[in-house]
Amino acid sequence: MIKLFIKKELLENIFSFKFLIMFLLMFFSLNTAIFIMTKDYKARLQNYDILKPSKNEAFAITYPTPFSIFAHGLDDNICNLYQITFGGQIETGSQKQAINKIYNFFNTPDLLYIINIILSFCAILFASDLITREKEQGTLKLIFSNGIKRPAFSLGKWIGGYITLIIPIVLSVLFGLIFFIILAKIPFQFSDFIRLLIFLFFVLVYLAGFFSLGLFISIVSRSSAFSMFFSLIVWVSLVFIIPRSGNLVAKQFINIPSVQTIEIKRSQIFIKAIFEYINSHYEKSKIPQGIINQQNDKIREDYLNKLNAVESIARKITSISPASDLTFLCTDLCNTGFREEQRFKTFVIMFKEQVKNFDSDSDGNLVGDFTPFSYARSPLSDFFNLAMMLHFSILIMYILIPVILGYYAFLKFDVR
Amino acid sequence: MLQAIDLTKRYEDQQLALDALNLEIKEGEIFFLLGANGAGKTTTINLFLNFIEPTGGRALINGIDVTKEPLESKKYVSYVSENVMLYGNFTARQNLDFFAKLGGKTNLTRDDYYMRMREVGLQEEAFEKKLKTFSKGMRQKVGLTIAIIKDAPNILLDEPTAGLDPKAAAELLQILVNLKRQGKSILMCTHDIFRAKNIADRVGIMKEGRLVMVRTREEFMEDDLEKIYMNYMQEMVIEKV
Ligand SMILES: Nc1ncnc2c1ncn2[C@@H]1O[C@H](COP(=O)(O)OP(=O)(O)OP(=O)(O)O)[C@@H](O)[C@H]1O
Ligand SMILES: [Mg+2]
Repeated sequence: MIKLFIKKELLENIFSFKFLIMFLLMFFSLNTAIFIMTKDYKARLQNYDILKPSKNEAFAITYPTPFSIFAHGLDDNICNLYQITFGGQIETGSQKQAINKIYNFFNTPDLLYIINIILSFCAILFASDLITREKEQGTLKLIFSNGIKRPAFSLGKWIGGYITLIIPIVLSVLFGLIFFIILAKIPFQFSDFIRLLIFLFFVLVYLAGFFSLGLFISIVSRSSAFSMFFSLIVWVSLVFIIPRSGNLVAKQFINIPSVQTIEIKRSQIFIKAIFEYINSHYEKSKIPQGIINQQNDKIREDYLNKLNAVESIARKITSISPASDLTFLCTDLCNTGFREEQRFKTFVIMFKEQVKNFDSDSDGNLVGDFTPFSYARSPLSDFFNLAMMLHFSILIMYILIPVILGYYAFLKFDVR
Repeated sequence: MLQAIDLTKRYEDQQLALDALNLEIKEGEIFFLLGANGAGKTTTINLFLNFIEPTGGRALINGIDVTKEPLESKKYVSYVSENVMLYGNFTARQNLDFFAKLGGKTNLTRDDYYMRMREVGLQEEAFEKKLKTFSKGMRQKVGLTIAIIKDAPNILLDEPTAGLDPKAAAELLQILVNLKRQGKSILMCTHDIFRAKNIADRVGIMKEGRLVMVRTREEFMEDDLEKIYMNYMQEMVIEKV
């Protein structure tokens, strides 16, 4: 009996106007994203080829990953130019570092962004009237005037509806891959396709969550209008409000001084040191630059610690939203996430340690006989860790909870 | 056979919609249930289909208690609802095919469906047209075809002639007479006294959840059914005033 319901669901949806609109929307948004990001990637690749350090240049820079087409994440940070200057200072290149990494995640119109926003919207809205519509058109009564078990219908609905939802997605992504990536000769290796498959798998799990939520809402709602309205609210909360409020909420727990406060503190330290110098050591010593540096470093360190703490709390709060979980998962998978950025920075620091004792020329550039910086992105095996499992289980929860609740709610559903 | 034994329904808002209904409709009998809006006709049908739980009494289909064995009991009943909507994106035949399979008829061919649709008087060119282009009466006929295809021994109809043109309504009733001759038990809720007079074996009048009058064909042919009905309704109006 389930098979019959699945077949009916597919037939009914695929030839509907709603499906056509959804298909077009998905097709154009996904392929536009792939197109734009492929161009962006190629531009950044050229940029890298120009900046790429040759022998005896104390620059740290790495190549952009083609996976930034799918999940751009923090790749601009990672692909920044880091120059090691005399005394072991690291200076960032002309491109400014993103100050707020969480915001950075949600702005680039990459594939992940389209999936996060547009596809999740399609999924929840598509599901939200699947049950209420049948009730309104009276087919539910007619179906259950036969000896049909309720779960056969609800499970058939889930499976059939979900398949209809993912057909346009899979087709659009395949099209995008063939036309923009393979034809554009983006350097993909075979192992990269495994990564890509995992990416698609996450996307399908993510959308199954929104689809299940929509279907659950459809079961507990009295009318299609209410169901759509309610779905919209849930969607806005999960996709916009929670990810964006993570930072704000986290800041309530930890008091981060503003840049101005820090500057004031710094000048206070400086002025204090000057006064001490004038008062006691007028004739004997130099300005105690060492002490000033030390104290400034402490302020800086303190500031960074707090910033990290905020980031970690924000990450936990935003993880409530499946959109954030998908973002963290996919950016990590594509080597454009927090983990990769940390890893890259450790490599830069190691490089700094290696070159900092070389002399500088008249321009302040380090000169010497050292091997240029080189960096390879994390292997796929690094991706499978506890944090990843946690994010993934949250995505699974977004499927399981509405499916289980919906299953039981539908057993008692009033079909009239 | 359809049986109601002290069948009672009180809705959550304490509205007593059906008050101890006792009714038995035998094989080959057409029972017309008349009554004003809100009298409890649809409630009765919903109870037989186990769409709602009775608060008292029992409803039996072919002797099977519908609350105890809902899935089994529904095998023996076909249902035509008030306003048949069906799947707008499916053709008439696709709709029939889907519901026939739900009703356990899995080996019907396209020609079988065409034959049944011809029987209820649907135009040939409508068979493969999407249902959303159908008029109300045409949809109603498809709904009736679904019930006929299921070929269950009992048929419940909730105001099936509402919105049908006189010719279509007459055709529908002729089909019911044929079904009756095949030995089906038919319960039809309606406001259509004139049709009732023509084909009903028994007529019941329902008022505020109670079956206040039942007449056999012989009885109501002697009296004027319309007058009886009006009398009952009048009483209600007077009571209300
Ligand atoms: N879900 C419900 N909750 C509460 N009361 C209800 C519900 N459904 C029906 N009723 C009440 O039960 C009574 C009987 O309703 P029912 O639908 O059975 O009437 P009916 O005879 O079919 O009327 P009509 O000719 O208008 O179709 C009405 O007073 C109605 O208000
Ligand atoms: Mg009614």
